[in-house]
Amino acid sequence: MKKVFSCMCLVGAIVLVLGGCQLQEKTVIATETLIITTTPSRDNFSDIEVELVAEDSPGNDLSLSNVHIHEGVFSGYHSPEGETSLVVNGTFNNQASREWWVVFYAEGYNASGGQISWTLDAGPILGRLQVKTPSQGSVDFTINLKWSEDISKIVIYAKGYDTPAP
Amino acid sequence: MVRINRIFKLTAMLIVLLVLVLNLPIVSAAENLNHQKNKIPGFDPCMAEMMKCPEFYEPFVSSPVVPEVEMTRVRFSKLWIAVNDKEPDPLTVDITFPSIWLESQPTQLPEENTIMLSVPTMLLEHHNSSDNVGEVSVVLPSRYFIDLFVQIPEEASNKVDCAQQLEADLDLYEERMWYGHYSGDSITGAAGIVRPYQYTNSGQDFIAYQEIEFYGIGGGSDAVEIISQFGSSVGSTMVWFAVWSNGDWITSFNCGTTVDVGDEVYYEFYTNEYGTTWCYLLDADNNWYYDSYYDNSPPVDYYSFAGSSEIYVDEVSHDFYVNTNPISILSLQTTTGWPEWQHDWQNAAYVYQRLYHSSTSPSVSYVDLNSIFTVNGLSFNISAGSEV
Repeated sequence: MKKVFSCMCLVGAIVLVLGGCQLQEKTVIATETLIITTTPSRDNFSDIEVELVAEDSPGNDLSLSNVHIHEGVFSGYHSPEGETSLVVNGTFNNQASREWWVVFYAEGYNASGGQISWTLDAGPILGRLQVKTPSQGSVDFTINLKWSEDISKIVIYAKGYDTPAP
Repeated sequence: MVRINRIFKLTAMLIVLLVLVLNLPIVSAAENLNHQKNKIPGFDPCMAEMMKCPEFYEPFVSSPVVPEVEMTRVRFSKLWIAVNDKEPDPLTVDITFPSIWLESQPTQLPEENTIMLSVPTMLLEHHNSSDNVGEVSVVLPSRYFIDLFVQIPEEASNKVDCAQQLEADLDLYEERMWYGHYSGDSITGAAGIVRPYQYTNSGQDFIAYQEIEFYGIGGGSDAVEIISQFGSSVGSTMVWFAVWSNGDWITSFNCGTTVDVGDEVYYEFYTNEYGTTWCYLLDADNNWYYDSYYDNSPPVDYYSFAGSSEIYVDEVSHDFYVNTNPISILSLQTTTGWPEWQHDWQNAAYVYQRLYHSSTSPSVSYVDLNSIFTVNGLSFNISAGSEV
């Protein structure tokens, strides 16, 4: 009799555990769904560090100013219907005594240095933008980055060419 | 004796100095010449001034023609080709022939009854899919056989809509049509036609790139572009390849040539498993051009294809209109991977079956493009122009 009771208890426990697991799983799914459908939002972007890495040409002759980051919506190849993006506006300042066609892009990194975001725009090719930086002058730019709430650093990579890149 | 030694040493030093003095200017002059050749004036930042420099329109030095020693020419009888061509597509020839024909001509027929395969030897080697050393199996565009050329039907061109207003702070206007390919085969190359077709200009400065961009997967931002380029003068019309590796435009890569407007140029490129991308052009005068580029993280599949109309212009004040029609993909190279790499060239019907239109970017001033997507392959009709 004891054995039968023990068996029933064991079966009951298994049923409870399995049921609990199922319930827990459903909860997780509901939570994930909630996260996905929530519109990304972040009040403060001032803590994001922005760095410019320019290759030998134009090198140190190129600098950044007036950088402003905000949330936006981007329509492009991967999302013709539009997706939330992290928009970086700024100005390239060219100190060189010659004009450069600057091809540039940006990547976003989390606090531990992992890349979690990339450029959505298409300029000469997908993922690359291009501006003409006048000799000892400035030009404004805009980059749309893949949205992520965890971006703590944005690096803008730039390279100069004599002629517009195709 | 000591004095003689001194005199000898002094003389030797003088000779060395003399040689250095005489040689240095020669070296410097040569360097300057090269430098000036590629130099864009830096003293005037104005784009209009830069456009006056002829080199502005020449991001490459026109490639040398493939030398005769690197060419293979095989003469076939027309009858033999008609019987042995396994490919029903008239734009493609699929044949297997004895490799001895590469060394001794297979036919003594009069020339009017023959056609000649005329290709760079390297290209023929890469196309050969036969494991039997005694034979050569190739699938090639009909155009590579002189006198077997099949004219592609001409498509109507649409003139660009210039109703929209120029945004004053922008220099680049561009529009793209995107195509993807269904999963399955890896696509590692493409071939087709570029025809810079129309040119009118009443004095506008501009540079227009009308191109197909092939985007690679698995190797960062790798891309190959086949480009029809127009500038401010009709003589600056060019067809050329651009290669992007890990997001950088490789300016040392040089495969292109100036062309007459109306000429058809055949192109093909492919990336092999060792990381080398080969690009070839065949111009209207049967001249071949090629270059190759090695990338240690090459794309294993070109997953996306974009027809793209791009124009760089400062201030539009004159009428101009440039058009490329067609710029097309007529065949694709597919590759099966490790352990037995197999490269096959597929025909235009395959292009139609395996690609699909994915999206088109919003309309933009001064540029326009549309596509014709049929069993004859994928063709873009790309324009740029302005009416003031």
